[in-house]
Amino acid sequence: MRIFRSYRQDTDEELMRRVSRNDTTAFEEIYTRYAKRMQGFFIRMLGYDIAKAEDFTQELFLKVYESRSAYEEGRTFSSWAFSMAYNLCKNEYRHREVVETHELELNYDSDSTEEPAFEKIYDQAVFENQLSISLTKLPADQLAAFTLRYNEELSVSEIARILDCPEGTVKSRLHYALRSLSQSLSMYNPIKP
Amino acid sequence: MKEDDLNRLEHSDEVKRIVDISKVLYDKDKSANTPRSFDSLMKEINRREGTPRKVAISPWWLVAACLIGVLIGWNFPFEDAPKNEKLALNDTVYITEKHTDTIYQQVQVERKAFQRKERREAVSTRQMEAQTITPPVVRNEMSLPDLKSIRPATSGRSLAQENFPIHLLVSL
Repeated sequence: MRIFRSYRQDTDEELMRRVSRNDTTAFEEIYTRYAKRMQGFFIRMLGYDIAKAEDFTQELFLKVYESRSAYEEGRTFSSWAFSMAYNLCKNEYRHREVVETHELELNYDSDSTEEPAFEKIYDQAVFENQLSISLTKLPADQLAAFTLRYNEELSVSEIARILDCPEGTVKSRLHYALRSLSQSLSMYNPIKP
Repeated sequence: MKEDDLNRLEHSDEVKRIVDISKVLYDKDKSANTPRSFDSLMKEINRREGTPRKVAISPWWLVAACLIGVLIGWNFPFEDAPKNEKLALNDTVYITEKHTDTIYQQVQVERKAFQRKERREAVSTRQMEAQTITPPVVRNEMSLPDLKSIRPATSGRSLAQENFPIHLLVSL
């Protein structure tokens, strides 16, 4: 009987097929699976603005529901959803450029160029803090590539589909992102001699 | 070329540490910030689509409601409840029950007796009519005893023998 049926065993793509037939329960299951992931992605991409990340998560799922009939069979749901999320972020960046005409606003007050105290250099908390700051300073395309590759653990080909660019471009962005992070955190990293 | 550089970077201890810590931070951010509820999302969807929110009734709630209904029905004294049979109390009329019955009684009609009565009435009506149209003289003659009648009178004599002289005297 359908009322008592659980959708937990179904794949994302099967759930989306049901969502396209206006199955709200399947949509709830999709939301349960992806809401946290998407919100984490937005938190990272929007410079740790939690309230904005919540709004964007809701906006993203509204878009998913509205364009449920446009969902292409055979495409993985995660890459489809992440590409929509990335487009939302890009729109936000454009909006910020118009309003502020400078880089992403940082929520962290500390200045990364400031010389840290010697005893704090190897402190884990300081390193985490500096890493967060360095991440927010990355260009949006590099940050997206970094987050999807190393935090969401997606393949390069999937990231290429999400960011709508060739795989080579993704690798290049990853390379620049890693090099940039490595340079900015070099003085905080105890591993580096 | 870039791919080789990337592989080399990824396998360096420094970058490995950066990647590991960034993953820990990412997971921490995800778990620390719970997304809004699904209900609020559906409310927003319904608001945008302009459709009223459908009330989702769980089948378990339906089962529970049925069980409660059965329990209430089982314990409710429908039959044993004392009825207030007072019709009037302090000039106030309480109508407890209004009941109207139509009783039909089956009556056996004696068909033969009815027909006989009808016939008797028809004969008497005809006689009445005859009396009204007969003139008095003829009526007198009609009332005279029939001399040729052989029907015996109650006394054993014929009707003529019994009554004739008296009739003559009266008529003269």
